[in-house]
Amino acid sequence: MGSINNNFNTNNNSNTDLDRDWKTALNIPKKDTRPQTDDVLNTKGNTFEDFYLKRELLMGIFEAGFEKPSPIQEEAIPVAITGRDILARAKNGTGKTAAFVIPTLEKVKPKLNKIQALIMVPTRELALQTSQVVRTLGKHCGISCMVTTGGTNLRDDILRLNETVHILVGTPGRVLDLASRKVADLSDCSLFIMDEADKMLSRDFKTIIEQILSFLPPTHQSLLFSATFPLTVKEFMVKHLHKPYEINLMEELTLKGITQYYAFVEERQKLHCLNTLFSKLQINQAIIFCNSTNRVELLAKKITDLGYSCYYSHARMKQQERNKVFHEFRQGKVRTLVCSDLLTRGIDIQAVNVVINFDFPKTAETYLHRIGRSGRFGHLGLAINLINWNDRFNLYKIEQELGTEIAAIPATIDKSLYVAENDETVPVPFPIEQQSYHQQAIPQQQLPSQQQFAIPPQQHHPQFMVPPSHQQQQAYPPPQMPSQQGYPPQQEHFMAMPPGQSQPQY
Amino acid sequence: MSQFVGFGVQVELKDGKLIQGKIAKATSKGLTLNDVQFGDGGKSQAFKVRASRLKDLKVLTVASQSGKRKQQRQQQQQNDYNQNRGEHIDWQDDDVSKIKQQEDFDFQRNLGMFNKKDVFAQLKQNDDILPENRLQGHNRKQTQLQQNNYQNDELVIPDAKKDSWNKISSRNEQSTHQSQPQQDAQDDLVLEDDEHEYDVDDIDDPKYLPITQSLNITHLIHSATNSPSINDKTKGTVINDKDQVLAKLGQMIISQSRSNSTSLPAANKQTTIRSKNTKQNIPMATPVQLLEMESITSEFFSINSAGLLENFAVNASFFLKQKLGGRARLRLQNSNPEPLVVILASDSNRSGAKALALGRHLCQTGHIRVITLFTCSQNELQDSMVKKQTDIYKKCGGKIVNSVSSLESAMETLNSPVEIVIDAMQGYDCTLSDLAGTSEVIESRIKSMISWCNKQRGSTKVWSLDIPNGFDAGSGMPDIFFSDRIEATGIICSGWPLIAINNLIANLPSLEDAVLIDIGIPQGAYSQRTSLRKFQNCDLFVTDGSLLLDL
Repeated sequence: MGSINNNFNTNNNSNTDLDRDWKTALNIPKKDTRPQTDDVLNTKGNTFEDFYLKRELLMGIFEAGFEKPSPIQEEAIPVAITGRDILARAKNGTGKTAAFVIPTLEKVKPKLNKIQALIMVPTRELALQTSQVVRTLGKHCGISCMVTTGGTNLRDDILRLNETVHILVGTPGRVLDLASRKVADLSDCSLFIMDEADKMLSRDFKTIIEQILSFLPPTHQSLLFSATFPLTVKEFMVKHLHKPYEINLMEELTLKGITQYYAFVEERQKLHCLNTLFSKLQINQAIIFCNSTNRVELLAKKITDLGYSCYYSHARMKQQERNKVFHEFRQGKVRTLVCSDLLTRGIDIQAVNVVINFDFPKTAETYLHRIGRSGRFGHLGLAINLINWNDRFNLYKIEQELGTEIAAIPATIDKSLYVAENDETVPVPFPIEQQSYHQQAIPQQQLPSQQQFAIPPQQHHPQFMVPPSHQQQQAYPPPQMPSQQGYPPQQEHFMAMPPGQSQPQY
Repeated sequence: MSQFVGFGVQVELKDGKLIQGKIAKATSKGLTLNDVQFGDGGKSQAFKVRASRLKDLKVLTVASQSGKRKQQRQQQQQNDYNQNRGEHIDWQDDDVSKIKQQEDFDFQRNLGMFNKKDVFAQLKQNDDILPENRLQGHNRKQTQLQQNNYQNDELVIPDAKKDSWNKISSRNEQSTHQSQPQQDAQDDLVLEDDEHEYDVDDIDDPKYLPITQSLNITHLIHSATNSPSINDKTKGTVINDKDQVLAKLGQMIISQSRSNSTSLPAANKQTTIRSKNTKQNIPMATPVQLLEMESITSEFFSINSAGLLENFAVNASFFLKQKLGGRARLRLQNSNPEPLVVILASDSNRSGAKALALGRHLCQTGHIRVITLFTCSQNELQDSMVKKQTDIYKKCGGKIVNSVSSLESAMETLNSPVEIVIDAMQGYDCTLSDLAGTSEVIESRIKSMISWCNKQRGSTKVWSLDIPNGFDAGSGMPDIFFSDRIEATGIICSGWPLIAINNLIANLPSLEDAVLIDIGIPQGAYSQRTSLRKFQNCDLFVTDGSLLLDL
């Protein structure tokens, strides 16, 4: 269990026994000792208590392992609490989610049985993840949060909305459906948040977003967060925001903690190359990106044949399957995830320290979001790009657009660039309730306020790390495969393991 | 000739060019190569070489030792796959077991095949060509994508601070050229002398000291002399002054007795309120008690009302600055304009002057914009303290507008929305009827100010000083003589909370917060009067100048 850490700045309020009591009672996880970059450390010295947040919220923040606000949190939280509309830009993985969840929890009134905040995200995985942040930070606030996304049973959503919902996290299509049917009453929803706002303002979603806004009160507050803003945001701003407050923490585009390399590889050599990377790199968890769903599945099969466990995910999979893959990868039950760009935005898994672009992306935005899956919250990460001759144009353009340099892969890669010294302190993702993801609508049960923050077992992590004394290079043995027992037969193909083929023995 | 299929070869043409590739087909007429790499670095999936152009051929690699049967099977699989998927993947049919047996991939050797520096230098030269003249389609696509997004260092609102804030002052400069204020100031000086003489007489005469009730009435009279109508010195007006003073006294006594009757049935429960975080029980005060505290502080401790007012302004400004975002937001280097605070003030010592001092402390550091609108025209201000604070306020950067419409015009030209309204139209020692008097113009003006305030956006916070406009300070009930009232979201209490807050909680649904502000009353003041002893044993302001109440 995590040790109690009371090393916080002195509360600016009266320092009475009552104040000391609530801090000593906190159940704080073990401190994350990994080095961090200025992407999250370059603040003006404010603490969460300087924002005068309610005590129940501060308890949730500290028990989630948060110690100090990141730059985007420091700038956005106090302004959001004042009620201003906000346009906020910050790098991937620097704490944008908490920057809008914390003021939301501060402003929502638990005693008012109405939907008071709507958080819009572009993907279902991101909706699950965001709702989990809401529930973790707000676990003492008595606030009920519901997730609603496409691909799940509409009837379950309708039943859930008969109960108390204070914060609704969803994807645009489903939210519009519920609002249009008058199942979700947004007339008291005074807080509207768009994460990944550049995606949300794209042609796919813009019309839906504007239809949803017509169900909200005219004087609602709007918060827009993204790493990049399209030019079209100005049109949206003029139409829907009232004298917005702009925060721009993007003096450069790429994260400081991510080291980027390219390897020049013929297409037919890519598997050989990947096999070597697996054996030589010290991977905690890795995400491998391909440019098409077909290649995702083929590559996952080949990786399994090579003897490494992996999951895969792409847009053509069923929602239940995607949820399960997402959940288990986040929990560290498998080491490698092969996916398409479906998972490039917002997915936050601190244990991912390597991103491999098996196929090089065509645009700078895609590249930026892909490599942003490692190096989360100012930590270190490694991005390796497999480049063939035809990729040289994209490589050149992406370097020019991002103002970054992608160096040639060295003979040996310094482990200090991407490997944590003490993997025990790597934060485990906030657990998604086991019960919730088995249900199609993923209803959020109200947690008892006395429930302790549960840290899942850590037994999987040691298997991922090569012992420091190990000097020789050899193929890394795969972790024990998850048991097939209890899985419905139709779900077996998630594992990308062909039937009848046995695992190689070492 | 099929026996050569799969061989890796290097072909030299008669013109000296070198070509590497894998034989896909060989006939007497020529070769068909796959995975072709040209001597100049160019690549191609397939290339045909006529026999007539061949000069030399060198074998680099040989095909794997596979039988025809395997070749046919692979060919069939590939055909089936291509037919189904329409996509060719080179590593699709790779034998995984062979990859495992191979040595590590030689990254360094492969890197030697790609001279990034030279390639990029070449691309950079081509980068000068206009997009429409480029041959590569994805380059045009890249260019379009680049134009679709703001640059990382480009603001969506680049000139947010360049609005008309600095132009508002010109309007006030014109109004300060009036000669009348100087004349009014002289009259105020005379008044101050009279008040001072009266205080001295009161202290020296021993007959007054033991009579508590007389002292109470005396202080009410003292405050009544601040009424603007006292300026008229004619004999006929003196008679009218007496009538007005008596009416004012009667109203205050009624207010006090009403307050007493309200508190008596509820015993002690409604005479205390709790602080928000520390859960202290805090005694509540009547308006008369607040006046007594102020009087004692002035008489016995020589801390006059100007000092108390300044203490209030400093501590209240820190509280409001925190509400506006604190140090994280209030920075001179912020690219966003400063937050905007609007003060609705009356010509009254205990509300208007107090609010102007607060406004000055908010704006004098340059972090907050403050605009003030009075219940009367700026030229008609008569209270000496209000006029003094107004002058200091303007010198420190505060702005003044003279009508609701000019306030709205100013707001339209600013990039700052109104974030806080300070309602200082009515203090705890007067009513709206007192402010309006018999003037329908002022009454209409006050109503329009209330209406403007109530229609602000939901995110605008309205903080009333001591008592919201339109409510009785003694009871907290709506003013029966005035139908309009401010929908305050918060109350700023000067020193101690009014008992009226109990009824305000019920009558004012918009009320969310109340805060106590330390105005600097010495602890010893509470032992000077029996009626103030309940305030002695309460640790209110130890390390902070403000304290939130739990409503």
